[in-house]
Amino acid sequence: MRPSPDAPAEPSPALRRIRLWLTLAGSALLALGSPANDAALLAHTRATLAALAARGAPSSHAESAHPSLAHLQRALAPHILFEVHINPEMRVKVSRGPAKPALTTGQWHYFLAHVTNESGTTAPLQAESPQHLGQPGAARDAWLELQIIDDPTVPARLSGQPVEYRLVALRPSALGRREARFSWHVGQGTQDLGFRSEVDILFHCSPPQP
Amino acid sequence: MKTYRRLWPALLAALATLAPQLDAAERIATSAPVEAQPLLAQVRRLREALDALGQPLSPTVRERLDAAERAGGDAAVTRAVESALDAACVGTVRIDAGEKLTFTPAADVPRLQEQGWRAALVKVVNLAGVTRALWADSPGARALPESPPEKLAERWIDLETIDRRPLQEALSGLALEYRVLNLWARSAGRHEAALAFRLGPVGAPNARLDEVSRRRWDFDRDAEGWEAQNHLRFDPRDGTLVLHSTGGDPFLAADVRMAAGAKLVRFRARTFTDATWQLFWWTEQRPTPHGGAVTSLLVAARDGAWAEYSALIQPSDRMLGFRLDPGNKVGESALDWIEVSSLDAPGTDWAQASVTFDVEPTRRVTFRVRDEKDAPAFASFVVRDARGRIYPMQSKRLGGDFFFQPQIYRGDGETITLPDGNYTVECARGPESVPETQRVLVGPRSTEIAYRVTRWTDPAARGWFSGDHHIHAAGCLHYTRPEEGVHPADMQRHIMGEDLKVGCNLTWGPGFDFQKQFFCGAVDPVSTYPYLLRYDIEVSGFGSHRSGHLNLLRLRDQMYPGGRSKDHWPTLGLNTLRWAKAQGAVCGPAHSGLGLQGSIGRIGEGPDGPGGLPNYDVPLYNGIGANEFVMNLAHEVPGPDGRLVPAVDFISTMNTSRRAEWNMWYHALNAGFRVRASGETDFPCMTGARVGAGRVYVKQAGKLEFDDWAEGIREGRSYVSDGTAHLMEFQAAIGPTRLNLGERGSELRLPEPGTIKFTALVAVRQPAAADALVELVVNGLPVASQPLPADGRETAVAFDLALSHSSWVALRVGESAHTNPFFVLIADRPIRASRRSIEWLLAGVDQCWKQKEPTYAPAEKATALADYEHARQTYRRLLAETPRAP
Repeated sequence: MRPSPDAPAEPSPALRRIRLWLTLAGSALLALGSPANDAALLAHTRATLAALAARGAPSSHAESAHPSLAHLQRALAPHILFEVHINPEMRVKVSRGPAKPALTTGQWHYFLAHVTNESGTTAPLQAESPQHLGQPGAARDAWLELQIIDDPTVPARLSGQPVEYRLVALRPSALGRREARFSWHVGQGTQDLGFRSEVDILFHCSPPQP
Repeated sequence: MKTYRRLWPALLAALATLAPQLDAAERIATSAPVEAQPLLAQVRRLREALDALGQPLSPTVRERLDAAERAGGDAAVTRAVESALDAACVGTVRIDAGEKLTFTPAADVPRLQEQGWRAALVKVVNLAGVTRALWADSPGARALPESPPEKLAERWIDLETIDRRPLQEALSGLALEYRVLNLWARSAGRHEAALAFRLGPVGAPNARLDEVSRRRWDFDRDAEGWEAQNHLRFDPRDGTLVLHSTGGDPFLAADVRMAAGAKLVRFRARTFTDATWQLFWWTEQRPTPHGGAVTSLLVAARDGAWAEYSALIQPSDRMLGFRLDPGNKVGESALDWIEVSSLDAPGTDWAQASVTFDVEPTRRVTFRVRDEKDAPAFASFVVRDARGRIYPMQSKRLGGDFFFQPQIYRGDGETITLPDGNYTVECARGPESVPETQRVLVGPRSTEIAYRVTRWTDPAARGWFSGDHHIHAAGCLHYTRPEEGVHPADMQRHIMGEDLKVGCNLTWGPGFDFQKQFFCGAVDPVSTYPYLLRYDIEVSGFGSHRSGHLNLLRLRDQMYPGGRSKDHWPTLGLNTLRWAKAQGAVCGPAHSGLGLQGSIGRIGEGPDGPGGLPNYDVPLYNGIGANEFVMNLAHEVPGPDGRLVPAVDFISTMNTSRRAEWNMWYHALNAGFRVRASGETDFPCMTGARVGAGRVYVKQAGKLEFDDWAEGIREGRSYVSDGTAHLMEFQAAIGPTRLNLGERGSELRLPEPGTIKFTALVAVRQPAAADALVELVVNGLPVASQPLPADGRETAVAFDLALSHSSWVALRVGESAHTNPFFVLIADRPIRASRRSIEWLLAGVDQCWKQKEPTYAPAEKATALADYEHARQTYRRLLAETPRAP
């Protein structure tokens, strides 16, 4: 699944430079596939950053020619809206990350899910929301579109490694403050109990700039 | 005039009556319209949280909130929500635009429960849009030990804020929201307590009222609580504190209680020699001075002139005191004043007001619990008052009463504390009993809850003993503090209350090093016949868990050789099985369906079986269920006597997708393997509802005994069930020769094609259905069926089955129950029921290897490679032995 292509704003020249660097440095490493160690995690982190940049998400990381893993992860941190944790029993829980929940009505926004995977599952990571427009079982107050990006660069399927990122796209259809509930899982019946697989987030949805 | 004068008293009285109402109205109607969508979303979360606490809103309030959902427009929704919820509030916290807080108690007198907890709401009018935490405290919530005598009476209350899921610790920023307070009362009657509120950082511990945000000592009269210690003496003199250092380590200290967070310490001092002064602080978690909580500053002589100095300190938790070390030289110095102040954001001053409460008295109520034979018993009880509140309060449960369940388990003669009033009590004793709901009045002459169990079936009376081979005392929903999970006696209470004859309590990753102490290689001493608790191991969260979790039952030694914990175990599941089977354990994968869904492609042509059983989609093998099982199945390993035995004895069922777990089992049986099914819950991970949600019923002659019960799983003299359907006395007959399930390996031999009669005694109780269907399953496909009433009556079923080639035969009832199979060999030919099943398994080995190969440690990789290849070779051999069109 891929969000409709009418979204990202034209990136700034600085962002284009970042994107170029990431395309050159990061895409070669994508071929490594699942991160199996720190070097692979570095590659995966770069790929995630490249995927974000390719979708116009601003970043401020790549001043160094050879940024460290910690440096890259710090650059990703402001984009993390969901902290997903999969315990050894494959129970999925989620909490809110540091990303600012600000959206522009009618536009796609890209956030990260930072996944800590203790189970090693390689199932696709999935999110659902009763506020997801047009979905079966959508709530009466549905107001947004939600997609987990699933393409060769950032697959929805998990690699099985302890830490990785996944890309989440949101597009609001409403203005003002709106709350959405996101329920996360990696397949039927893997939601953690006690409301822990759900997170409620209050967004600010602004009108597009003329 | 005279007439009017006579009216004045009445008018004044009327005004006096009206005044509190006006006041109350003004207190409540404080919020401007709020966006309806997020407000209603927040209200729904509040309702979920209160329901989960067992403290639901009253039916009237719930109806009003339902109406609010239908109100149109922000203003109407806001009014409707306030109108519904304000009456349930103990007061309103108002945060003005400058983040100053005020607290106004509600006009109504809230009711609490003696020696119990009640949830109450606090309305928050947040005009500043603050998104920090709202902390609450009361001077009445201080402890009684060490209390000043004059404070004893006021310390009758305790309180806590409830902000765990689905609630949120941070205020939403909306102008209107409602928070949950949990309030406890010591004694009955009318009491008054001050409630206080302030803002605080998210994630920090709730501050207390006796903490100050600023403290200053001027030394105008005396040392004002400072104490000179070690090489220091001091004299208060002329509004200063003159310090006399007599050695190399002088210091003075004072207690001061302040919340965690940055603080500025300032002081005015003079000295006659340059020196480095040090400032230590200590906190609740580190209550003594230490090198990690100190800062230094240079105090210059300046010819003895006064000067101001400052230092920034950052206590990580609640600060209890600090200490000033005035250099390390002998001599004199002086302090004019010292001040410490928090650098918190606004809103940290407590807003406080007094609230009057009515506390209802409680009394001790005794359970009278008897089984169907009038013997003392344990059972499950959900106790709700007329408002729907659950007792004891779930958030205050420890030990055997699990906080994540509404029910409690009580035995005959045990008690509960309840206020007088009407209650509904849901009583049950596991799925073999008929649940009932009682209305109970608690009062001076009514202090008992009596429940006599009514059974609808009793498999144990026929020798079918229930068990759950996968429950936990730690991890998932269990708490990690004050201890890592609960104790054997707590688990025993649950298995008795659910009438579960055997509970296999498995130690796993979370709490491993705490829970391992309870393993004894035998039935736990808390077991009370016929309820047996046994500690064993689930390989989960360590070792080979990533290729699929393993239940290891009937272990003699719980620790894999080479270590004392869980970090040294093999990463290849088969290596774990080799060790476990060598000691005679009974082993099988856990939560089998996990990772056996999705599809990478199909095997062969033609449709799946009815309901997708069996189906030929090759699953992803991307989870922690029966994944490596597809390889392990093809292996035999040395048993205790060195002879080869199957590496896996059973596949777990009844707690994941039935289609996924039974599909794997059917294919394995179709290939000729004699792996059995067992039933599990994985409590409280797959569900926290109760132990024994998934069960296995094992046939045992005579007294229940654990080792033989586990052997019954291995031998397949058992059926799996969710407890609503029972398939007892499954028997095969060839002419006059009869064989019971599990006897002689459940194997029948016919010299040539022939007919076999299968019989069983079936009981199904599923109140939502009129009928149930018992199906005869041959090689994974239903070939005959018989309807029967789903009202619990025992019904004899019989099927005559003509077989032309070797097959396995079992019974099932929907997704609720399944027997283990008979294996019918015709002309001594092995069961090779389906080439397609064997091809499915072979494809599974390749897919599993792709998924799991990265999880095997380098040292085990070569073994893993060889083990997978052995499995491929085995399946290819079986394929060669299987006719193309059986």
